[in-house]
Parts: sequence; structure tokens; C-alpha cells
Amino acid sequence: MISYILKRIISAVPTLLGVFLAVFFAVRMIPGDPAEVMLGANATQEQIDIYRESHGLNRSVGEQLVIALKGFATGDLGTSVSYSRPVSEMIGTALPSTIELALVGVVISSVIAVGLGVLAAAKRGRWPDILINILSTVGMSLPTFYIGLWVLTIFASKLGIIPVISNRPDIPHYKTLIGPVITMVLGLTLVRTTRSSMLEIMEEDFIRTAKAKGVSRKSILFRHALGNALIPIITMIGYNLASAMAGAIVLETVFVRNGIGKLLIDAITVRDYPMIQGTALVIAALMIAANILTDIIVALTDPRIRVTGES
Amino acid sequence: MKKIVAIILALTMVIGITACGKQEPAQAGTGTADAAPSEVVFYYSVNFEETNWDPAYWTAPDDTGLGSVIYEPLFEYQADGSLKPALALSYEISEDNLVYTIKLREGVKWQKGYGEFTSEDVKFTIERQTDPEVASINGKNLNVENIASVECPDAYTVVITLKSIDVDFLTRLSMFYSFIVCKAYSDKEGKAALNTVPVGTGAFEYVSGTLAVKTEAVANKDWWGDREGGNIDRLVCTYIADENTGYTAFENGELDILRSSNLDKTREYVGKGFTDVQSPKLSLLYIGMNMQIAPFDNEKVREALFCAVDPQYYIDNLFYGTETLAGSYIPFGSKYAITDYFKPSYDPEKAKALLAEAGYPNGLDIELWGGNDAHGQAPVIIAADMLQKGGFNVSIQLVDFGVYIDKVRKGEIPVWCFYNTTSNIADDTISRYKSEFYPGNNWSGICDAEYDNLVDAGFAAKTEAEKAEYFAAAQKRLMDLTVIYPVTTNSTHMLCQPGLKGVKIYGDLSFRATTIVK
Repeated sequence: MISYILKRIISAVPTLLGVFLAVFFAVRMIPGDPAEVMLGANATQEQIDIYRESHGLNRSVGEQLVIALKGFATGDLGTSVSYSRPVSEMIGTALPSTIELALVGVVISSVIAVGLGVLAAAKRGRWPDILINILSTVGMSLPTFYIGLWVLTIFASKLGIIPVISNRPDIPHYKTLIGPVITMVLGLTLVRTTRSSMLEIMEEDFIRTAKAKGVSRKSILFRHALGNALIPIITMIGYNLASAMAGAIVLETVFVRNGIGKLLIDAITVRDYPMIQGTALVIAALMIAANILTDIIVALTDPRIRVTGES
Repeated sequence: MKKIVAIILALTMVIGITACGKQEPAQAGTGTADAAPSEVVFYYSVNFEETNWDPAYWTAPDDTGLGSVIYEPLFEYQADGSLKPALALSYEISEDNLVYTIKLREGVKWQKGYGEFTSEDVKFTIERQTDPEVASINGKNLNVENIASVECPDAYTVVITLKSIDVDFLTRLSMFYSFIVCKAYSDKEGKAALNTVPVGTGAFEYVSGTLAVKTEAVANKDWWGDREGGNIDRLVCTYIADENTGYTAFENGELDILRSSNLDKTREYVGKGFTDVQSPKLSLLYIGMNMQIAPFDNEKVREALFCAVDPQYYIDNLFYGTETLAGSYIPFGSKYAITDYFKPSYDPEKAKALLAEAGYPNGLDIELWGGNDAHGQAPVIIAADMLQKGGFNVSIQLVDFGVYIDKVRKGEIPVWCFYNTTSNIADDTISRYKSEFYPGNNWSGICDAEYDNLVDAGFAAKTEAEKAEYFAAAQKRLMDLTVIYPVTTNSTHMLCQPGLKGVKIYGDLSFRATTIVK
């Protein structure tokens, strides 16, 4: 297992380098000069030149690439064009908040979605199944941004249960997570996976045998069916976790949370090249980490799956 | 068993990592982020990013954020253009108008224990504008190249000698880019420290926070100034990017004031009993053309566009009477703005006739560009509708600011509708339309020798009156070229919770919260 994890980590390096290079060139293809955007409409050429020089933007793309690659190799993500501070420092400040939101949101939404998926499978074709199907379809269809604003309107503005601004010093920390987590729960992406996976297992011979032997319905559902349907569910949870890390942009913007997604979107707005490269790299690393974690949990869950250094 | 191990492993990781993220990470700083129950805490938001603490990197008053309550200038710029002593007590100007002897306020303490404010701090603030390690972008604004020397004959006197007369030099010393910074702090912690934790002499002292997220400051008990009854103990400034979230937070009572760029919302809240504080008019909405690009190189086409626009419609329907006609392309709040030269003449039929004279009897196809943000879209759509009625066949191009500024600076945008904010001294906006700056920040491609000469003469003026005269002539010349249509003035609106008193937006557009009573 350890050699497997090490191999996955080593194999992630070329992937990360690929992401880094792709982002490096992609951001430079977007029209808009960082100095011009930062300094605004009235900036003189002299001011723009000073800004470019002080942030290394006057160098050729080749020189910038060499500097960026050296930084990639040494873990130095450069200095933010907009903040004039190290990118790693800014990311270090924002990252815990993003990880916290992704983990709490994915855990809670997974528990609820799996529960609803099991219920839908158990009541197949009846009103709970239909209702859950409609809810999950609506949840998956609506943009997260839209759901977030509705959550704010209902839970913050109308009911007063949650704060709109999550970083007020007088607000208990747990309250600041409620809004984003409700939004993630309402996405309900896992319900359909759980339902279809459960229904497939429920058709298996061993379930019929269990029923014939008089095993209780609860035991069939949760012990035999859900236990065997877990692989696609865990894989989907892993995917959701990776998506939550990358997709924190919307939730962090709507719920006024500090986080890496917010850093990225702000950086794109002002063409802060080092910050875009740094945040994209970290998000890619988080997604890879989430995938490795998923593989490990899947392997531990199902004895038929073996992860080894050779496989 | 393995399933249980897997679940335990997953939960342990979740709890462990979640615990790591429980505290809002704060930047280095002294004090505590927790508000004491008895404190009067004032919550406000900004919808633009404040990304630097160091005044050397601020590009506009909006950039200052909490900086405008932490730092102070030598003089405070008033809405009427006059200067009020701040860290300076008085000044004398030599007969040749080149030597400024400024007496400083005694007994002013730097925050965080960095000793007393002295003339060395003023010298340090000015001289760092040319320090390559600092790479200030504000040397040009302070006109630092024109400063021959800065001397400190004693701790409370600073003598600044200019190379040539600069009639606006004292005004420059009152602007955000001239906020005085602490030499002792820079010497001890390094030059970069000024961008990490701000240390000023102002009414509030930074305690914690992350720029462009949330920052906090507490009342500076040692401040020398008069709060005029203001009772705020702590300021909490939150960056809210999404407009709807900002309004929801304000309505929920989580913000004491909110910068509002949606006038429909502003009216709605005023109707509910909230108050609206409007800023001085340092910005305007305008339609610009690039006279180097066909068909706007044709004067008749430009005149046709001028005839097709109805500014009163904007005033009545977009700004609900809160704005006025602009008299020039320099906003009213700026020094040297002429206020009554431009007279709009809305006549769509005449516009069509002019287009026909210009060789476009069946109308003229144009692309009208603008920003794709919520604030920028509406005026473009209104302009397109008006121009359509005047014989133009308009297609709208709404793009993000980065794309827009890149193309317009390169001279690739023929006509646009945009907001422009000018600094209190109109030097930047007046000079940007000189021939030498095209392509570049002379977006309109104005290459007019007469305009250039008038601007140069204004900069060389020996008195304010003389400079005003040349700058007025330059503005008239540019307006006569019919290339920039100043549609209306444009202000910032601050929505305030009922009962809030003493909210002011100062002449330099800064918001200081010092006098607020909550």
C-alpha cells in the first residue's frame, strides 16, 4: 500500500507540471496586461513600465517560464502581481478554509444523499422515489450560484438562522459553514448514483437468497445491498470532494468566505499570473490527493480490490 | 473490519483537517481579532479589492480601504478643494514658489510603539518614491522628479525644495499617495513590512485580517485629532464581491453601511428608511470615440453621435435625478474642471442627416464597447438604443475590464461607453489626451497640436489661476473636437442603516469612519 501511495505521488509530479505549464501559457493568451488592469484607466505608460519591471512582467515569456519552472522545482510560487506578496503565503492563508468547507460539505451532503438514495431504491417506483428523483434532478440542474443565493435569502434574510458574512468576529464558527453546506447538500449529486447502484445490487442472486432465508429488510438494505454498492458511491464521493475543492469559487464568492477559489477568481480578474498559476497548481494537487485517498478507501472497503506498487 | 478501518480513517482525516481550518487565519499583527462585548463595532464592506497596505502601490482612493483611517497625510483635502492641516500645522512658500517650509504637528505618536512622528518620516515618505527596491507607482503623481531636496532642520520642520514651480504641490501632499509612513518601522522590519502590517498615526490602528477578505482596526487612543463625537471602537471591513450578497447582508443588519452601485436598490432601501450618502462627483459617464479609426475620423460622424445621445434620459431613468449634466470631460469634483461649457443638443433627426452627409444615408454599422460588469452594462445598452434611433446600427460588445483596457489602449476600439474617475488634481486626465500618448492611455487618439500646447502651458504655469486658464482652454479645445461625449456626472452611494450619524465621504473620496456615531 505504501509503495502504491508513493508511486501515485511520484506519478502526480508530471501531471502537476503539465497543469502548471498549461496554465502558464493559457493565462498569457488571455487578452489583458496585468499592469494595465491593476493600474486602471488613467495609468501612464511610465507607471505601467515601473509596475511591469518591478513584477518581472517586462521579461520575455521564455525568461518568465524559466523563472516559473525554477520556482516549481523549488516550491517557490513567485510573488503576486496584485498583492506584491509571496503567492505561497497568500495560498497558505486561504487553503485551510477551502479544505474545511470541502470536507465538511462533502461528508454531510454524502450522508444525506446516500440516505436518500437508499430510500429511493427501497421505495422504487413509489412516491418517495419519485419525489427524491425530482428533487435530485432539480438540485443537479440548478447552478450552485443560484442555489447559494436562495439559501442566503431564505436562511439568512428570512429566517435569520445563518449569517450572510461568514467572517464576522462575533459569529460562532460553525454557523458560517451552514449556508455553504446546505447549498452543497441541495446539489444532491450522489443520490442518483446511490439509487442506481443499490437497484443493481438488489437484483443480484445473493439478495434474493437473503430474502428467501428470511433476513430482515433493514439488514438486506444496509448490510448486504449498501455494503456491496459502496464502491461506486465512494468513487463518486471522491469525485465530489475533488470537485468541491476546485469548485469552491462559487460558494466562497456567494458566502463571503476566504479561500483558494476566491483567490483564483480575483487573480483571473486582474491577470495576476503567478497567483493564477499557484492556485491552479494547488487545486490540481488537491484533486490528485482526493483521488489517491478515494483509491485507498475503496481498496480498504472491498477485499477484491488490491492496490500494490505493481498493479 | 477493513470497512470500519476505512471509515475511521476517512473520519479522522475529515475531523483533523477541519480542526486545522477552524480559525480564520490572520495576518501578522498585534491585538486581538475578538471584539469585546462593550465595544461599538462598525461593519462595512468594499466591493473592490484592497490588495496592498503600502501607499506606494495604491492607484486610486478605492485602493486604500482601511488605510485611509490608519495613515494620515500632511494636509487633508476638503470637498471644496481647500486644504486643512493634518500632520502639518502650517506652511510657508518662498517668494520664488520653489521652497516649502512645513511646520509639523508635535506629539503625534506612531502606532504600535514606533515613537514620535518627525520630519524624518516626511523625508523618508517622499524619498522612498524613487527607491527602486520599493518600486512605487506614485512617484509621477507626487511629481517627485521635480523635488530637488527634502531637508529636516529640526524634528518638526521639513523644507522641500522644488526644481520648478508646481502650483499643486501642496494638494499632492494631501492625496492618498502622500500618506506619511513610519521610517522607524521600515528601518526595523524592512521595506516590505509596510505592505504586511500598516503602521500609521491615524484615528484607527490595524489589528488583524487579510487584505481583500476582511480587515480590522481599533480606535487609536493616542490619536491627536477630534472625532467630533464619533464613538466607533472597532472597524471591520469585509470585501464582498457579489452585489446580491452585499445587499442581503446589509438588509440583514450585518453591515452598517454598504457601497451601492445599483440605484434601483438604493432607491428601494431609501424608501424603507435607510439613508443614502453620496460622494463628491469625481467620476463621469461618457461616450468616447477613437478619432484615428474610421468612420470616427470623420467629424460629421462624431457630430452625428453627439446629436443622437440624450443625457437627460440617463439622468431621469438610470440615475433617477441623482446625477447632473457634465460640463466637460473633467468631473466637477476635480480641480480645474469647467462646469458649463458642454451643451448637449439631442436631435436624432439631425444625427441621421449628418450621417447622410458623411456618406451613410442608410445608417452606419458600429460596434459599441463597454464593461461586462453589472454597473457598466446598463449605460451601454441605453446608448445603443439611442444611437439606433439616430441612424447608427449598433452591435454591443461587453467584455471584462482586462480585455477592454488591452484593446482600447492599443487603439482597437472605435467607440465605447464607460465611467472615468479623475483624481482631485486633473493632471492625469488632462495630460492623457496628448498626442504622445497615442496609442496608450490617449484612448481617443487625439493628436492635436493646439491641445498639446495648452496642456503644456498649463503644466508650466506659475500660478493656480494661470494653470486653470490653460486647462480650461484645453478642455474647451477637446470638447470642440467632438470626440468625448460627457454624458453625466457619476457618484458613489453609501447606504447607511437608520440612526447612523456622521457618515462622510471626503473630498478625496476616502471614507474614514472617524466621526461616525452608532
